[in-house]
Amino acid sequence: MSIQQLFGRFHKEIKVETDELREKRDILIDKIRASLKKAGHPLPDLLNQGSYIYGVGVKPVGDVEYDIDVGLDFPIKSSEYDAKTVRKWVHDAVADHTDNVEDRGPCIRVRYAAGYHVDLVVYARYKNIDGVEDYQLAQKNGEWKPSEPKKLKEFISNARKPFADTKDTSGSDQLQRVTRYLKRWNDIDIPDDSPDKPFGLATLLLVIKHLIAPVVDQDGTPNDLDALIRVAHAVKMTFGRIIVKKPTQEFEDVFSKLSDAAMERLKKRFDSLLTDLQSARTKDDDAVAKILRKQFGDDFPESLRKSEDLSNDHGARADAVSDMRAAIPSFSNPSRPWCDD
Amino acid sequence: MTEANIWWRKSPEEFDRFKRELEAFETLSFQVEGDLVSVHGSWAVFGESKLITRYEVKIELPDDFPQSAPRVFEVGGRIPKEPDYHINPGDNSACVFAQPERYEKWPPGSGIRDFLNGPMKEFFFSQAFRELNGTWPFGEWSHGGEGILEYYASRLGTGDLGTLRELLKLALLPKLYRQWPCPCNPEVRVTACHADRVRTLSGLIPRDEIDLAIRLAQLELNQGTKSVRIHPKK
Repeated sequence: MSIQQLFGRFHKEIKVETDELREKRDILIDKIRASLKKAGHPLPDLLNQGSYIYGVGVKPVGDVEYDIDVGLDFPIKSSEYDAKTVRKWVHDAVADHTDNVEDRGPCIRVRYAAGYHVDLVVYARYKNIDGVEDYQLAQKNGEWKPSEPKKLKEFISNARKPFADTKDTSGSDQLQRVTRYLKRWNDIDIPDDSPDKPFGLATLLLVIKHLIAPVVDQDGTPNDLDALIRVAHAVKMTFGRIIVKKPTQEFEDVFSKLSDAAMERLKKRFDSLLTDLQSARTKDDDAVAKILRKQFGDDFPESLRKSEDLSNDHGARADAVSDMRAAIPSFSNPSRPWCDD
Repeated sequence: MTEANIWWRKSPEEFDRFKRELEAFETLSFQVEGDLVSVHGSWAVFGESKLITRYEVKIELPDDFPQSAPRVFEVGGRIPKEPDYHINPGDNSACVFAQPERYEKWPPGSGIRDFLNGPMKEFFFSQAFRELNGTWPFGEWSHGGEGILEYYASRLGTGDLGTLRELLKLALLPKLYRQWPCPCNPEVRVTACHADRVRTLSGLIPRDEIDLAIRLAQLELNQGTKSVRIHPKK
């Protein structure tokens, strides 16, 4: 189905390729561990978390930086350390390598000139005598907050299981793709960090809540358009605020940071999205592309033909340009395009 | 326009000529819906040695064809329907040439073959090149009246608006007298300077178009604009 192909190309455009980010993360972690060791502090394990480990990372729009979340998991008992102290270990270890460190609410942010930042989230991990792991998140105010990063990861992993047959060639399933579409949709509306913009995790959990099973055509092909419609429709049917509880401690509403005004705006945007998605069902591919570019921005393909004909293959493109340049002298006094506006 | 005045009804010979000329373009075919004759199909853009791409197109022939020029539409969704891509905002037709340039490139009475081999081919070559390379291979006219003045400035070889206005006025006169000074330089006779260019223009372009350009130039001068861009012929 060609609308699905349009979504496929869109997904390819917005998906973050994780290999490069992983490499950057590993270099930083090695440096931090070396500095901590030198200072005589306990050494943390790496805890993969965040959007790219859930497979829902999207490329930022405009000048916004790439964001890498890294959990640093210290083998310590939270009751024996002040959260501020442990955060300071990390802060000082990073400061050995760069001047651009910010102590933010839930994390320590390291900015790189190359257009990305790494958010370091600090945990204390203690295994009790029954072998149960207790994670506490170090907050800026010095307090520890119960957290279950591994359980959250497991929850997401379980939610993805029914979608195993909907994977595309890059290995992303429908749940991940729909989450990416909606994250980009939010980024188009508000590119920067903002209290008015839902967290990426909130969008993922919203999709998990409303997309319980894959949406496929009769022949079994995934139908991402209808999957998006299902999520948008469920939001439209929600009375009052969108509420999605985190499935792990402290079971908070992941949309609670949005003000009432921002929530109202988000719901209106979902209404508009639903209208456009539903109208796309009855349109031809090019009309669909036009409608959906309005919602999802310029990375949504203008048409399949364009993507197929003038491919992004730089070599082929350079050859075509060179061949066209050679043809230019054969035009004698060509007309120039104009516009009567 | 009454039915009897529709070009293909009024002139079966012209319609035959149209059909004969169109046959040479294998990927295009025409259809008649009511009074409207339109051409549909794909338009291939070639470089020096190979096919670069194809565009889906529709061409509508005006009721008074071949007096008025065909209207071209890119219907495959490849070209954004925006003025900066040289698509008319009113009807999404392609701006294949500037208003007065039409008389030079496709004079009234010309056939569909010349239209396709000229402005149509050049327009889609430009679009494909722009799509690949981000630039217009033959340049582009500014939008609206400014583009019209650029056309005359380029053909008359002066970007000075005051001089341009006076040269255009000369183009409306039946005769240029040899003792007259040239608007570009009072020391030089017009017959030894701009006369040939002025005569070429007045031979190509209807008086009302030139008159429009004079008024556009005056408007710009009133607003303090002194000059327009010149695009040399390629």
